[in-house]
Amino acid sequence: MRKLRYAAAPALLALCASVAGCQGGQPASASGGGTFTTIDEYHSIKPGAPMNPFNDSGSAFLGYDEMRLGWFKYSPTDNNAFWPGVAASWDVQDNGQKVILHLQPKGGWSDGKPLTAQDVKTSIAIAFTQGTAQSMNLGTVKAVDDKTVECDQIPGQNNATFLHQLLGTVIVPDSVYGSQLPSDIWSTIAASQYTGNDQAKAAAATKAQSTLTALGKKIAAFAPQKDVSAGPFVIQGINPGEAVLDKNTHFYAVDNVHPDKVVLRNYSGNEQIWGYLESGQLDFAPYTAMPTNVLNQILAEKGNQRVDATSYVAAALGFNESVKPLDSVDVRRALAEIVDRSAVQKVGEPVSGTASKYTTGMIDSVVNDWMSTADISKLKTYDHNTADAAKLLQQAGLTKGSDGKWRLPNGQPWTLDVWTVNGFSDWIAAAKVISSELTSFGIPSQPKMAPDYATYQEELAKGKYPLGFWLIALGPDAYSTFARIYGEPDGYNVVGDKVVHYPASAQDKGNWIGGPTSYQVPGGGTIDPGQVTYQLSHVPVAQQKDLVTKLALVTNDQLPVYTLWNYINVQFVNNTRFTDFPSGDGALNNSPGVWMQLGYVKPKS
Amino acid sequence: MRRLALRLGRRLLGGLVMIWLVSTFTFFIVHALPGDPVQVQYETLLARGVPPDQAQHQVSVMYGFVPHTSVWHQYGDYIFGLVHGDLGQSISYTGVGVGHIVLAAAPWTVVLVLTGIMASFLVGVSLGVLAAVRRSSRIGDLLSVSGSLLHGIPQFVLALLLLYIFSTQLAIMPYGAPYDASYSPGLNWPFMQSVISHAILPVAAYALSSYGGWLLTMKSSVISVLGDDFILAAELRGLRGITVMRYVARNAILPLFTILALSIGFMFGGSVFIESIFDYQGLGQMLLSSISARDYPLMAGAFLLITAAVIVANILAELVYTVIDPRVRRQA
Repeated sequence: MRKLRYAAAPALLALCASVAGCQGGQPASASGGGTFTTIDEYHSIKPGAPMNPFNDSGSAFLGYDEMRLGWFKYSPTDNNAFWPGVAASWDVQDNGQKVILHLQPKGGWSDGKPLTAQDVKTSIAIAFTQGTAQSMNLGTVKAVDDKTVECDQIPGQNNATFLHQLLGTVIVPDSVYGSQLPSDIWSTIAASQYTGNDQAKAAAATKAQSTLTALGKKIAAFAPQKDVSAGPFVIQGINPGEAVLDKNTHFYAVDNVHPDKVVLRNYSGNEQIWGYLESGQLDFAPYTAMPTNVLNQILAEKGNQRVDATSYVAAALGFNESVKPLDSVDVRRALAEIVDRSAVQKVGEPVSGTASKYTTGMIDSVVNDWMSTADISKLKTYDHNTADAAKLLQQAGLTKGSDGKWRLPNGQPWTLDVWTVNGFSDWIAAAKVISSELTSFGIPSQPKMAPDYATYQEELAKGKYPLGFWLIALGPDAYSTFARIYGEPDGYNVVGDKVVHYPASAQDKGNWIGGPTSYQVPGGGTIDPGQVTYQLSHVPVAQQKDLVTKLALVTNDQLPVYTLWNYINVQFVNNTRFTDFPSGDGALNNSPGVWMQLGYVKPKS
Repeated sequence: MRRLALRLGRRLLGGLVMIWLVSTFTFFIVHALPGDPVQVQYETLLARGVPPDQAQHQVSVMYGFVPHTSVWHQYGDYIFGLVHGDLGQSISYTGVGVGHIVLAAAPWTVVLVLTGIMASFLVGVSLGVLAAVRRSSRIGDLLSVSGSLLHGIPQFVLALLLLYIFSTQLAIMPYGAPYDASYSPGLNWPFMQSVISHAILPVAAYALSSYGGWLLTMKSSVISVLGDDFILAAELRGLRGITVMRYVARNAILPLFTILALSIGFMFGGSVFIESIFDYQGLGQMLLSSISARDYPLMAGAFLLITAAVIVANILAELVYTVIDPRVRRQA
């Protein structure tokens, strides 16, 4: 009886194991490439979602079964640096007005059909229904032959992001999606592009735009019966929580792809990813915020390895300049000097990367790429200096009372809360440190939390928070980087290819920074930061340096935001089952599906 | 029989009125939430490296699914659609029908929580009888203590513990999906085996955390019935022990049926923690993600299902009680 009792526990475990079957990352088999188990960072798998890349919740996985014309190399200074995707190569002509795409000669879909120019034409027509083709000012698309497509910008437009956006187009099979489009789609697209003064044509354009929008909705909700992929993998099975993808033998570079299968796990929170990593089940995982003890446990698991890449994101404090006394640049500078960035950055480690050296609107590591040594020397570093901060506040008319607390010029007490979002652990930890530093300095402050990010965004846009956390430098390209400050947050919107500025008082327009529309550039001249930012989307990369330098100098001098730290893109790989993971920036910033297309990720022998 | 039919009719009508009231209430609550689904998606696209202009154009498609009429107009549309069986289109799923999404998620919640409730009910009730009958013995004490202990541990703590031991440390139990996606769903053993293996931990968490409640309730109910005169009469008449126990069990279990029916009703809403911890994509998870995406139609659809389940379960509980308890039937 006793023996039976002792045998019960292992027997129970054995039963569990037999029912559970083989779990976790499966070993690379001797005969093939094995199963690569991972998580799609941007894509949780949802019940009832269609296998459609145009649906926001759709089950299509970038780099695996969802293909683009090319894969961006994440170069901060060359927005047009791409690896081949569905397009094997491309010629840029007429100063970037025309792009000739040469499709992969061996390209084929997983159902055996060849990849043709018609697939690209259909995909681009769909891009018009999704609004993405309009944002690159795409005009006409012509199939030159079965494997060549010519794309032209709308005459008169000069969009510097044309090639970048074009190569980012998602390519879907005409055999599946073609039937969703009406036969007159191209005449509808042409009609929608009219911008002249002819009233009849303008009315037709409005009607055509409505037709495209309606088509966009229809296509986004479309649910194909099965997955047809031009990528290295194709969905074999999917359920609400897991997708299994088999190798696509018709993929143009199938010899580059080593794993036989990819299993994509769902995740609904950080804890799931921690659990998978701690048990060594994932061959790759993106970073999620985690306490140090969890990080240590993950790294203690056999084969787990941390891989760092550049993150083109920085954490900053955004000032609402329509709230006094934050309209004073001296006050903003004083606040910058009160905050000890190195102390703040430490509480967000390891993801918080490095404490910011400069506030330029960009991440520190690209400052050298864009600015000359002479211009960099003009940048202020706002080192922690409370004595200087006190002087700056006095200069702005604030006074320190006998109770040690600062008062506004009108004699009212000054309090300044730091706003963050529930669940954003690095922001919350940093907000506590900043509030404590402000309070010690004599500015009573508390960390405050919006219940979730949706609420935070809405209330921020309405100007409800004088001081709040904000992600900036969402690059790597210069236009996206500065649009994060001198775009919608500062009231600048692109309406019909023109930049329109809304004041902070127009609360539904999202201007919560409330900065002026004219800045004095240190060293001479004035600029409208919103206009200059928009210019970045229209001038070639080679001519952007001067504009970037002006914006960086102005941002550093006027501090509409104050950069706290530069994030770092921490990822995890497990080298127990696979080896030869990429190590440099660029590839690492793409999905492992792209790594495999490039020949990385080999089964361990 | 006619009286029963009338009673049923009254209850159904009352249930419909209740569903309308609750769905109206939840509609306005959901729409009062701050946050804009389009802005949420815009930020998501920027974080993925999509240029701002492209992101702005891209969300314009999604924007088309967000109603822009007055809340009262939207409410009218919502009720009209509801009467016609149309729950509307999801915003975060860009146009996919809410009914389709809810139906895709609901079965997994039903499998999970129904199994959990039934397992905890059967185990709890059986052990409750034993604990009552042997209440003066060590077994009785042990059972009562175990029931109180497990009942006192929050469900999510138990779930986290099971997950950590069996999935993270020992790595012998799967989680994160309702079954292995390599298998074709259907009546085949590999698929069934996969469903069972993926459900073991969440069901165990559910059953372990709630069987204590059943055990303690059944125990006190049995003890109360054991003191009734009719049991004494049965014993004095010399009826066999098993017959007496049958009398005891049938009477003691009556109050538990009501709780059981209500538990089944609440299971849709109560599954959030378990589904979230085991990453089991049922209704609870769907509700959470719809809230963070401010997907109003999906939220309203999920709330409606939860409400309807509770109300229907309530009606069923009352009807079943009428059938199984002659005293209630006579009063009706």
